[in-house]
Amino acid sequence: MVNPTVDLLIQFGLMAFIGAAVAFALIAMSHMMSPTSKNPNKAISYECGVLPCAEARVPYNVHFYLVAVLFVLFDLEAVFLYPWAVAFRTLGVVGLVEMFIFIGILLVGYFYAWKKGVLDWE
Amino acid sequence: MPTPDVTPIIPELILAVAACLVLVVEPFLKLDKTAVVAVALTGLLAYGAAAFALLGQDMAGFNDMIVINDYAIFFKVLFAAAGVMTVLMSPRYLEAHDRHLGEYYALLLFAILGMSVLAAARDLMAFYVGLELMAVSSYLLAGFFRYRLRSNEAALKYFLTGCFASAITLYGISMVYGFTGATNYAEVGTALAGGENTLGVAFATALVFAGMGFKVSVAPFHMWTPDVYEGAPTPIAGFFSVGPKAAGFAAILMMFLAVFEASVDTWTVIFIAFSIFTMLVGNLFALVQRNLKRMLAYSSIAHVGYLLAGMGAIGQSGDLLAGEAILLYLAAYTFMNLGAFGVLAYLKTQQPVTFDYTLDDMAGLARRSPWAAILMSLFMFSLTGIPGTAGFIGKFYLFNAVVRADLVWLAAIAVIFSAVSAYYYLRVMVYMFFRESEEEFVGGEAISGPLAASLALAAAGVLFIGLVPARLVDASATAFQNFLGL
Repeated sequence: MVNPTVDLLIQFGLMAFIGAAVAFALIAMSHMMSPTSKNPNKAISYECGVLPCAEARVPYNVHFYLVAVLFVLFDLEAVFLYPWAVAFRTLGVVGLVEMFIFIGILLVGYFYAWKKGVLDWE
Repeated sequence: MPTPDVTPIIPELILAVAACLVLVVEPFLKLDKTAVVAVALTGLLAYGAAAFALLGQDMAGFNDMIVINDYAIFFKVLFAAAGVMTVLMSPRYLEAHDRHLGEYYALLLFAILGMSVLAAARDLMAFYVGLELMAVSSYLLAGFFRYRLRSNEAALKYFLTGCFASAITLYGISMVYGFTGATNYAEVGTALAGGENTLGVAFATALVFAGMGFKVSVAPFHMWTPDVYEGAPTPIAGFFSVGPKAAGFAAILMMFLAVFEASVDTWTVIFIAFSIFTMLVGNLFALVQRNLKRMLAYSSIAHVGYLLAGMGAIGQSGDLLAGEAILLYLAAYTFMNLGAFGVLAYLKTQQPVTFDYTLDDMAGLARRSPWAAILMSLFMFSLTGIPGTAGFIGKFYLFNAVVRADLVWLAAIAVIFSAVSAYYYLRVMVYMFFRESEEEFVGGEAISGPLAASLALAAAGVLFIGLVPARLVDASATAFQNFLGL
């Protein structure tokens, strides 16, 4: 019979060890087992088959970034809308009202972005 | 689904509506942001008033995730006071930096909303949502002067360490959930009281402590604090030093007494050890700072050390007095520290170019603006803990509680460090009253009305708690006992 604390410590150590070992093993295995062919073309950044013609790190319009953030916002909204739609009958009117509050808060943010000219591309 | 009772979150609802309203009003305003300030102030006052009106209520809502009771209300009123003071000291300061934007107030209100949820949460999920709302708003506020290198540095450092801390806290929470299968504080507490998985629970306790330690800047997790306070706008630095700290301690108290009750022996030792180290680091590093914002940052770390000693006393004895003392200390600390930052904000608006928050800039202040010097002295006296000020009452109750928990040696260490702290607090006064400024003073602007009101509020708070402490002592006692009764 092992001391329970020692036993727990061993379990903890095993968990940590296996976790680290799996991570290392996967990387090492893919490194060793994958076929490698040295070809200068492979070092070129992938641009849908077109040869890159310039440096990718150029300053670009901050609007792209803002629109992307807005997109993420409403994309996530859809993520929340979907389970709500599935459970609509169980949630009933309360669920409907709560969803409208949620959308309302998002619309405040959308309104703010709109008035601040995020959607204005001129 | 039954209609949820929204009574427990009425104050939060008011605050959320006010914050959204700020965002709606802001785009319509040109340069004059008075309307936004008015909306933010009204929202904060209504929030505090609604919380005050609910005093004596004791109910839980939303599947017992959020409660409203005297404990939560105590903190809500405190946050409302801190918020009002911060809003009042901001307009002129932001104008002096050409960055007077409405978003500032919206972010501030959202941060307070997060703090409010944090203090009222009775569920690990609600706790985490409150923590993140507070944190994300804080990162943005720290980097509000985005054209300044220092401000960007502050935001980035705060963001990276904050994310790290959140992840560590979340890891601890996930372990707790794994052991118990529950997220509600009461259920988790009962499940953990079974006494299984002691090592795992100790590990989870340590992780949550480390994560929260980052947020309230416990040494050795304090490295970000001086840089963030130095780079952030001064009113915001003042707000950071009181708001998130009070909210963090509200959550720590609840968390460690309700959730980790079973591992009380483990965390008592952790708290006492970190308390000593935090007091040491905060006070010794504050001694050598010549920048006042950095000095106040290290001093805030030292104060966290005293509060941790109070936590150790609770764990050691289960004495009610220690919990009350922590609440009292947080209230006293809010007024005195925010007041000190308010005076600095005023001096910066007066001389936007030459004033750089160094000790030398304070030289001759008593001759230039005697009122600012007198107020600063009051706040410095209070931070030292001179009788007649709020700081004394806070320290007296806190150290008394530590002594009552049979930790006389810990109280002795805390008192010695308070004596050390007198050196760097009173040195500010030496510069203000007994040194002459080397540069010729170029006449600056007079103090703005809101800023004066904010300083008056802070000074009134310090003197009120210092001279007639009975009301607040009673309030914190009721609040804490009420919290234990749950």
